[in-house]
Amino acid sequence: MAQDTSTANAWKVLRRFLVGILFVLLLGVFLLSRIDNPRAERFRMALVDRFFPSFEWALVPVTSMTRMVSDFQSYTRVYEQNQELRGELQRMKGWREAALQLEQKNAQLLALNNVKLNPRLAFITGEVMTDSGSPFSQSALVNIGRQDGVRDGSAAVDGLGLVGRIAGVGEVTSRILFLSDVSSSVPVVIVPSGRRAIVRGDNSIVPPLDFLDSEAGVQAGSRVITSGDGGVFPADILIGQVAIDPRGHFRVRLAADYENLEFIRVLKVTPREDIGGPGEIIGITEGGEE
Amino acid sequence: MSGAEAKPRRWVELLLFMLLGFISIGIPIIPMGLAANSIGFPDVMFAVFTAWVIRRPTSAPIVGIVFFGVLADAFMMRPLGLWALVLFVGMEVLRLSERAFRDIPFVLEWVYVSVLFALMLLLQNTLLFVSFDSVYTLSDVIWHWARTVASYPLVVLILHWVLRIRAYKKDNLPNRLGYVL
Repeated sequence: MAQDTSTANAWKVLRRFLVGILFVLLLGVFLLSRIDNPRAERFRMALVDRFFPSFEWALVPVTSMTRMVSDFQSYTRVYEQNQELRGELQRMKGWREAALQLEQKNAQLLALNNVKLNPRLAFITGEVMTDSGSPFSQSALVNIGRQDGVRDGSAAVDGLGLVGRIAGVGEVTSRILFLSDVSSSVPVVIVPSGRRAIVRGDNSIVPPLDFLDSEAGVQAGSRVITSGDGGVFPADILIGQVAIDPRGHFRVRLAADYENLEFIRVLKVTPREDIGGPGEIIGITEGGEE
Repeated sequence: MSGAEAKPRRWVELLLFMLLGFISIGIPIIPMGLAANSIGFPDVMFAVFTAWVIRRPTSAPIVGIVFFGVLADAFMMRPLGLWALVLFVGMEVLRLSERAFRDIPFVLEWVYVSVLFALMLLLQNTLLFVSFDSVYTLSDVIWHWARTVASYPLVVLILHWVLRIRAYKKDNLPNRLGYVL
């Protein structure tokens, strides 16, 4: 009996010791992620890369099940949807005509100017595997990674508009930070007025337009596209349309369909060669015989 | 005497705990409702671990809690180690107040857990604040709290009736405070 209590006491002491170590360890991890964030993010992606396959086999059937259920639910409103689609189709016919005319005109003008478009814009398509699962952040994991050519900071689009950017790349997975996340800010241009602003995420589906240089000419319905400032995103990717909230602030109704996000394209842009400084092109350098 | 027959049961419980840890990460990250306006998931992991620690403190290993906390942080795009730390502290507090949970009605337990969760969220925001990170907005935190507290009885129900993880009766409590692993 006496021996029993002494072992119990030893266990208790050992346990208390372990609790202390774990506490310090966790605090250390948190502090490290605040001090050396890139390293912590690499650690995070390595962890996700390591454990993602063990979730994948369970997640994929569950995901397709839930998608089937939600598809089935949509049958119940099939009549209204049909009506809506008819109306939309009518409007689209008009737009199609306009687009065709513009395309022809554009082709003519391009031929006149002999413009070279950026040929180095390619994309890879990935499937959305998981949601962030936390109400405080807006992101998703996709099943493409470094070995497919994904880089940190690449733009991710769905069929129509910008979804977000790559924040964290593993070997076979990568993380997309949505435009609606609080840590996302994207420099944009509002066309046709040409005003510049920043779309800052605030955990809502209609993120606000910050630092708008002037409100002149900005109307609800104006298109918002990336400006390419800062060199993270290529220019001219559609983000959405300007909307005005009840308090009179400008916001953006995002073009990307976040509700039914399944496939995402990640743009691969070869960065422009930077010409920094005068360089050694002109003039003779020391030992220039080589 | 009872130690020999209790051993395999403890291993089964340990495995079940691990499985629940993975499930409680897996459920919230199912890619449904990616848009920001969709209703977020409650903190399933908190609910499961709390309910478990109150009922079976011996088969809820602290190493496991820390492991799942960090893994969830990695998967859910939270600051690495932050919620794991808060969860760990919360669970230790629960263990220390283990005596308080003996033979109390479920409603009281629920109240205690919801207060604990509120304090944990407060601690989380405080840690974010002192490390110069952006804190979570109050409305988000309150909704998250409400959803998690509302989901707690459901988790307890599943643990109690489906998995048969129930509080020990007064007379067959294990005499050890807890196992290290």
